[in-house]
Amino acid sequence: MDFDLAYLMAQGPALMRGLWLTVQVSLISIVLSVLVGLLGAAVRVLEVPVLDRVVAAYVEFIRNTPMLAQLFFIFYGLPGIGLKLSLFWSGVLCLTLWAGAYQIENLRGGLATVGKGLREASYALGLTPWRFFHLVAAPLAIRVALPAMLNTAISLLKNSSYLQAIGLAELTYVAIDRISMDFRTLEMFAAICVIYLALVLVLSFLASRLEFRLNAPFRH
Amino acid sequence: MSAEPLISLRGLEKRFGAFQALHGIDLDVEAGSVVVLIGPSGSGKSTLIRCINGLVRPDAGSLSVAGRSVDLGDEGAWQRLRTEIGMVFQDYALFPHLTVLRNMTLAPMRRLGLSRAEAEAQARALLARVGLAHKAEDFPGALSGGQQQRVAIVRALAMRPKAILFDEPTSALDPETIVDVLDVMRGLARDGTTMVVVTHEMGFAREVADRVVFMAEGAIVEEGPPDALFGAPLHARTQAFLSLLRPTSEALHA
Repeated sequence: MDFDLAYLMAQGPALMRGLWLTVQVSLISIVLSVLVGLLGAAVRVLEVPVLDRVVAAYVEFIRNTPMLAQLFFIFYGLPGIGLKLSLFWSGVLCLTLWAGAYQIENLRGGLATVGKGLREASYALGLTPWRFFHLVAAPLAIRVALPAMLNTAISLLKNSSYLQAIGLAELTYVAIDRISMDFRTLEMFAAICVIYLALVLVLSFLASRLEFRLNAPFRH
Repeated sequence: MSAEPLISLRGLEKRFGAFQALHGIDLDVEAGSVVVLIGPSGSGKSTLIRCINGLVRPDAGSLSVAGRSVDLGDEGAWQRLRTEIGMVFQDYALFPHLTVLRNMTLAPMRRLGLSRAEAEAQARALLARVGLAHKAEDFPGALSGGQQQRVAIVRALAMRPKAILFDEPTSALDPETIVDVLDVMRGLARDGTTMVVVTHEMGFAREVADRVVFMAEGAIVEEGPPDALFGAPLHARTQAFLSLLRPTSEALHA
């Protein structure tokens, strides 16, 4: 048994830099993917002509192709048509598009629980379909969809490790980079697993606080 | 004042697939009057009042409100019309994630352009009118069915509508709270609110209605003042319907 804690401590600063990049890319992508989810779900539920087909096709494409292929397409493929993004923003775009598709489906499920009665009541008050969506339907749907949306956010966070494949120096990249020099596989992989676990636990905790606050109107 | 009716329907038709829900409905509602629609389930009462504010789009016929004819195919026209005609539903349909106060200020702020302070002052005054001023900060789930329905009524009033449509407003309530809701509706009628009410409360219809309309199979069978329609119905279909109801209809006459 040869677990070199001193070695791991010495890698602390490098791991922290990777961790910081992982946190940045993940948080930005989580926020953007929820926005994609809300917009996409609105388009589907309000049956916006043409656009709802586009959204449906987008969801099918993302769900039925590997994320790594999507990532390579964005980073290596898009420059072929003149769209060259930085490493960081390629990563954000990939994670946002990937998780956005799942958030659309999560929110569609939540929206299905919002009754026809509330839609009629909103329209009867003169509210437009869009106002019904963002003032009534979406706030209610998010409450129902929150557990599924958290799952998607957790998957996004973990899938950010794929970004090492294009050379973004996030947490997993740092670990592999060090291993290629020092061959300390046990220490480095153990370290990043613990860090990912901690990140997911923090995310879950934040989501549970949000869920508690959102459900205040339903506790009597 | 003009003698022209506030709401006027002519030759209104509605189909759902192969099912003809409404056959050539003609109906006038005078400003300040209470028109009560009665009839068996499936007779088209709820469809008819939904055609008045476009929640159900009529297929043919004409509708005019306050002398303006409504373009049946224009969603924008329906949306404008709905700010002028309120509606109260059987299941209250309050927004469960918003407080009572927010339920009542949402549309007036968005559609009438009231400031938050104006909308809240109006909402509190209306809540006081139905004895629910102390519930302003509560969420709908904390209220009884009768209280929720009273909030739904004043939520509609907060839009300062020309008329209010009621779709079986007491059908989901227990007998004790029905009285509270009917009292509020009586008060509205006394104040001259134009109302079109679908209900099975025959006591209420007899007492408050200026005109009772009996529907069956998607058509108006007969209509008239409550004394005439309840006291001496002309059609066999009306007589049959009323004879079934009579044993219970007087029970809740307040």
